[in-house]
Formats: sequence, C-alpha cells, structure tokens
Amino acid sequence: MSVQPILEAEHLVKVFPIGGFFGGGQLTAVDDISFQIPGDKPAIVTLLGESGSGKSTIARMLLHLIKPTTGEIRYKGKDLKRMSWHEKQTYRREVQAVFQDPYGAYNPFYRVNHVLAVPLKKFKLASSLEEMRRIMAEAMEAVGLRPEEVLDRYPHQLSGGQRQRLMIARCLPMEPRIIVADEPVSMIDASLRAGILDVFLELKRKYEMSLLFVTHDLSVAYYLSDTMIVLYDGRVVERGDAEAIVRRGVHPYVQLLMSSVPLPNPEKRWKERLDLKATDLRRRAESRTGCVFNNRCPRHWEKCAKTPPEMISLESEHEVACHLYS
Amino acid sequence: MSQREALFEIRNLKAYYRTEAGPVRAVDDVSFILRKNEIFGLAGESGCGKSTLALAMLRLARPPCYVEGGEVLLEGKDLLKLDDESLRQMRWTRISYIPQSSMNTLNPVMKIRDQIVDVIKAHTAARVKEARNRAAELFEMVALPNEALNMYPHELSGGMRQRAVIAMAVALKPSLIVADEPTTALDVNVQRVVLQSLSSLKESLGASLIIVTHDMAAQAEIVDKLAIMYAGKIVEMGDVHSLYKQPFHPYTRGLMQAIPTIEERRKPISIPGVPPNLLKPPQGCRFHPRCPESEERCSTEEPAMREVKPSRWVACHRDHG
Repeated sequence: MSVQPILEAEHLVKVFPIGGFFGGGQLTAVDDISFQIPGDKPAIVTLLGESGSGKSTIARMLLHLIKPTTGEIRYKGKDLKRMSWHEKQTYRREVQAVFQDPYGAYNPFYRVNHVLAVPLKKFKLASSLEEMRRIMAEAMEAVGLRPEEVLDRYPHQLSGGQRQRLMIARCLPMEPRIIVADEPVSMIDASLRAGILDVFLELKRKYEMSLLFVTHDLSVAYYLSDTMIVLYDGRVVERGDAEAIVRRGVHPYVQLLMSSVPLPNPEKRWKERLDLKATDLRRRAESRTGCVFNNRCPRHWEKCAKTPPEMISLESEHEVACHLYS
Repeated sequence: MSQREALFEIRNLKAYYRTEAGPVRAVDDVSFILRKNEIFGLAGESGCGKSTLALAMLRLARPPCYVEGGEVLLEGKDLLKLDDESLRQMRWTRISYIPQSSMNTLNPVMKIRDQIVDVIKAHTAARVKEARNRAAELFEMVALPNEALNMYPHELSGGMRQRAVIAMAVALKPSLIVADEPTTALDVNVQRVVLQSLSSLKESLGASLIIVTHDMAAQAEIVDKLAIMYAGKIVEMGDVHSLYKQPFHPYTRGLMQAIPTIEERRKPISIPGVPPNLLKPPQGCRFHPRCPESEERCSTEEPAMREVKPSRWVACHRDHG
C-alpha cells in the first residue's frame, strides 16, 4: 500500500484492574489489536462483536477518552502520545464521535441548539450569532433534518431518530475526516433506523468522511460496511470485506454467528438447537495462552489451547486467526 | 389450519395513561384470540403500546396507567373482574409473566435455587425437598447446568439469568406465559438459546406463549401467529408464514422493508415521518399521515379489522386479497 492510512491502531492492548479487596485481578479487554482506516478513499470500517468483545474499549481509546495500556494509535502517521497540543486539537476536531444513547446525550434544560453551539464556540468556527445559526442550519440539512422543525426546540420535543441525526449534525461543522460511532442505531426505532444509516453513507459519499462503526448487529454491519473486523474476547478473529465475512466467513465463531442471526423470514428458521452448555457457561477463557474461542469452539483441537493463532490471509481483503487454516 | 381451542382472549381492551393534558391512549380497543399450544407474537416499535398491552392483560397496569375498558378472558374467566385472592392464585400457576430486562429481576442476595423454591412454596403445598427437585428439573429444561442453581445472580451471564427467570416462570406449569422483550440486549448466540428455550415450552409443557418484541427477525424464528401494533392498535394479524410472505398493511410492509438482513444486501427504507402522539391520535386510520397509499377516507374513517383471507386480518381500507 502506497498511501498512508489516515488512522492506524497498532498492537493495542487495554488491561483493566478488576475487583477484589486484596489486589484483585486483571481483565484484558483489548488484546493486541491492529487495524487501519485507509487514507486514499473514505471507508466504513466496522468493529463487530458481542458484549465484552472489547469493541467499545477500542472506540474509546481512539477517541482519546482512555489511554491504551500498550500499543500505538497513529493519525496521519503521527503517534497520538507524541502529539503537540495543537496537533491534538486538530485530532480532536477531525475525529468526531457519535454515541449510542441519543436520549442521554442532551441536557434537558437546554434547547438543542446548545449541543451544536458548544463545539462551534470551542473551536471558534463562527464569528457571529447569525453565522452560528447558519452553520447549524446547514449541518441539520446535511443529516436530513429541517432546521425550522428542530432549531430552538427542547430535546424532549424531538424523536430518538431526530436526536441521533442531530448528534451527527453536531460533528459536521468541524469537518471531521473520521466519525467514530458506537452503536449509533441500536436505540433507534426500526422504521427510522434505515434513515440514520443512510446519513452515514451520505457523509461518506458526499463529504468523503470515513466511519469507524462499532456494533453488535450483523445485519446492520453487513449493509453499511466496506470492511468488517470481527472481535471475540478482545482479539480479532476474522476480518475482510463485508461480503467475504458474511458469505465466506470461515472462523468457527463467525460461522456460529452467521447461523444464529435470526432472519426475518419464517421459512428459514434455525434447523437445530444450539448446543447450550458449550456456548455461555464460561463467559471468558480462563487463560489467554491459546485461542480465545478455544473453550467454546466446536472444532478445537490440541493446538488451540496452547498457541494463539496468527492472522492468516485467505484471499485479498480476507484474513482469519484460526489454527484450522494454518 | 386446524382451529385449536381458544385459551386466552382479549376483547376491546383499552389501557390509557392519565396525564394532565388528558388520557394517552396507549392501548386502544385491542382484541385477539390465543389458542392452546400456540405462540403469539406482538410486534411494533417503541411506543406502540405493546408493553402496556402486556401489563394490562395481566392486570399489572399501575398508575398512571389504567384499564379503561375491555375483557381479558383466560379459559372464559375475566381476569379483570377477579378478586385479588383468586388472581393471586392464578399467577405463576395458570399465567406467568417474564418482564422486560428480566435478567435484572432476580434478587441479588439470594441463591437462584432459593428464589425458585420460594415461588413453588408460595403457590403449592410442596415441601422444600420437592421444590428443590423441581428446580433441578426446570434447569434441565432450559438447559442450564445444575451447579448454577447454587449460584447468586451476579455469577451468571445475562443469558443464563434470563433462562433462570424463564425456568422460574414455568415452575408451576402455567398454561400461558407472557414474555416481554425476552432477548433484547442479549448476544446473538445467547439470544438463539433463549428463544429456543422459550419455543420448547410449547412442546414440553403444552403451554401457550405471548412474545412481545420489536425484533421482527426474532418473531419470525418462533411465533405461529403475529400481530403488528401501531399507535395503540393492532393493524395486522395472522399466520406468521403467510404474513411475512405477503404483508398487507402498508405499515407492516414498511416495517419489513426498513430492516436490514444478511439474507441479501439491499437498501433498507425508512418509513417517513414519526409515530403520532397518543394524546391526540390522528383521526381515521392512525397510520394515514405516514402512509404512502392513503386515500381520502383514511383520514376520516377508522378502518375496522377484517379477515381478508383465511387466518389473515387487516385493519386497512385498501383492498387486499
């Protein structure tokens, strides 16, 4: 690859201390994860995983809300840890966030204009009140809101879909290169969800923004993503373009996921009962010496408990970490 | 389709919320019949009234929610007219309820086994030993390991706790189980296990179930009959296979087009507009302001529920069939 990726995560590790009155243990939430968002063209990269897979921890590290234990995050080639104050300001402006809960994101006492105005003031993007209102209105239009229906309202007067659109609109005046969106549609009603997804696609197409999309929802990920990174217990198990993962996914975990996703089609119900005891008695592997999926894997063998599998390339844009394919 | 015996029937049920601005008509004139050994799905978006309906039919509506009218018949007996003691006796033994986010309803300072034993002892003459044996059987049924009985809720994962609650709900072999959003917030594989546990109750207990969830894919996996709610009313109802193959109501069709699926990579399409405020629901059909096919009479005349095909009911003025 000749063009430098815009964002690179390299060997990211995050260890949290947990519980116990006497010292307690450690929980490895993110275990040596590397990925990148390409710099040559905008892309939607999805981190897909179930609860506890580390997907949100990665998003929070990228947003600089928590620090990685080890590993590097590079933006336009520059390590986040070595950035000057000015570079960090630029990073904070160009990498924006949209979170899960559009109900909790607003202060109910302020009009919704407030959430849009804060970053405009902070980054001094408007020189007058009129200009500020004009910028706000433009941003609202870009996400499919009618400013006259939204400006000067209070949060409780807007629907969840409108509020989430507004959270996206809030990012736009900063002209971000990347939006990190953590489960942005999981609290939005089904009939309105598609509209929000289209806003993201539109931002990519029209404004050339990339998206790091964090979700547990395979169907949504499939529709939206260029690249899908499937996480399990803090590690990447498989990655590739969306079509490769969904149609030709090979990791036993990915295959289990694919067979368990319910389809909105009663003619295609699950054929057999899932073996229950294997799936969730132990939430996490006891030791991290082998493959993280080892104790739930229907196809594990000796090697799986001993050595963690390396990433192996299967085809272009499709890699898996599994001993079955090495 | 052979018509099995009716177990549970709701007639013209209305449940409103009292507010200063007037009643919010969250459930407005809802009727349906549930047959023995049938899984009935109630689907709809948040705010459509499906959870309120579940509470109202179990007589669990609490202020500011109240039942404005209607009948809830379990084997011919109106639950809404029962005295408190008879109602108490019916709970758990005839009808049981698995509330929303029920994995958080367990008592955190009691072992799971003791909580199940409590329920059994409160409603039957069973001794502790019998109750404990029953608890073990129940865990077998929802495929939980026996050692989990001896644990506290925090030691179990969300999916296991959810199944423990299901085990408790069926402890006394009720003929009807109502589960509100039983799989929301669970991981995909765990969701499958929970749904399969629920649907197996149909065979193992001969029970009927009402599954309330917004998740159309989860509904498609296990229910026999599905009702779609919109703005406090059932707009369409029928055999699940036929309904997914050929949805009649424009709202149902919109809802199905709005959900992405891994079956095919197609563009999901939102339904324009937002659900109405139920303080002042629109005149006529409640969906007409968002409906792509609305006609003049849709805004004045409320469509009645009618059977357009065998085992298919729709409340829409348009001609379907």
